[in-house]
Amino acid sequence: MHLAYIALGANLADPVAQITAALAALRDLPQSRLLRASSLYRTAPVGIHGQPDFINAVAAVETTLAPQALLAALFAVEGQFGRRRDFHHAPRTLDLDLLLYDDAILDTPELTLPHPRMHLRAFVLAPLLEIAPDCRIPGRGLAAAWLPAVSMQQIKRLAP
Amino acid sequence: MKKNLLESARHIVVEGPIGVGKTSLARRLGEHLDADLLLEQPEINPFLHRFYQNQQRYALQTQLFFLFHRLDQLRELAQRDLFPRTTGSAVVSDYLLEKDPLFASLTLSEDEYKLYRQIYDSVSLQNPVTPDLVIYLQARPETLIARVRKRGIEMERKIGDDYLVLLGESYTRFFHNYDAAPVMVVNSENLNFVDKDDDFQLLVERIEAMRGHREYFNRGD
Repeated sequence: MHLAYIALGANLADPVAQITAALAALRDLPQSRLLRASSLYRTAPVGIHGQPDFINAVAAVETTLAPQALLAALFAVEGQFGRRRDFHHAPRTLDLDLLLYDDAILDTPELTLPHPRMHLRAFVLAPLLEIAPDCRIPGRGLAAAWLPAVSMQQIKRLAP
Repeated sequence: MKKNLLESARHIVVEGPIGVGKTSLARRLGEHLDADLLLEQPEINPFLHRFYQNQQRYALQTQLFFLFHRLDQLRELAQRDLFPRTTGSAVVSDYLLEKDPLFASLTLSEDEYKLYRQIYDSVSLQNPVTPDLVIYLQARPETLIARVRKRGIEMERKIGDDYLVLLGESYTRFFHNYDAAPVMVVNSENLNFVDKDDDFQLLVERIEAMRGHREYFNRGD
C-alpha cells in the first residue's frame, strides 16, 4: 500500500460543487481508498472584473497503483468533469494533480514528484497540513516549515 | 539529458519599455514553445484613455486598476502552473508585476506615489508567482520613440517623448537590481524577431545555451 496526496482545484461552473463532486469521485478510484479530504479553500479575486473564485482542496489516498497509473486515473476523473486536456485555453472545470507519493522523488516528462511548486502555494499547503500536519516533502523537509513563506497569499477556509 | 532553460521553464516573461516589442516576441515565443500566452490587456483598463488625455488627474486610478488586474491574472497563473496541461503547459507573458510600481513612480505625484506604494507593498505579497526566465528587451530612446510613433496606436499618440525616455531609464535601473529569476538582456537594436526568422532562431539558441543567471545578447551590425 502506498500513500498519495492529491491537489484539487476548480473555478468554473459552481466550483464548490465541482470539488465536492470530485472528492466523491476519488472514492471510486481503482485499487485505491480515500483516507481523508481537507476542507475547501477559497482564493478570491482582488480586481473589479467579477472573475470567479478559485476553490482548492487536498485529499489523501491509499493505493496500490503505481504513480503513473494513479496520475492516469486522476486524469480520467478530470475527463469525466469535462476538461479537455488537448485544447489550449480550454475552460477548466476541474483540475487534479499528484502532490506526493510516499517518499518518492521522480522527474519524468509526465510526472515530477514531489510536485515542484506545492510548497510555494498557500492553497496547497494549508489544506495539506489540515489533513497531514506532520507531512514531509521529500527533499524539502517539513511541509509546515514552508507555511510562513506563503502566509500573505490570502485564502479562506470554507465552513464544512 | 538535462533539459535546457527554454524547455524546462514553465513561466517565461518578456519585459521592456513601451514600443520595444514585448508582445510580438511573447507571441512568437509562445508559438515556438507551444505555450499559452498571458498578455497584458491595457485596453480593458477603463481609465487608460482618460489618463492619456489628462495624466495628472487619472494616473492613480489607472495604476490601481492595473495593479489589481495584474494580481488577478497572476492568481490564475498560480493555479495553472500547479495543474499543468499535457500540451502547452508553459506560459509566456509580457509583463512582470514589478512593472506596476515602475510606471507608478513616473506617472504619480510624490504623495500619490507614497499612497500607491503602501497599497502595492501589502497586496503584492499575495503574488505567488516568480518566472523561471525573463527576457528583457532594450532599445535606445530614439528607437523606442520611432517604434511607438510608427505603430500609431491611437491612445499612445499622447505619450510624450520625455516619458518614453524616462521609462527606458527606469527599466535599465530596475533590471540592474533584479535577481529573482535568470535574465537574458537583449539589445533589440539590430534584431527583428517578427520578420526575421534568423534573428528569432538566434535568440532561441542563445537562451538554450544560457548557463548563468544573467546573459547579454547583442547583435552588432
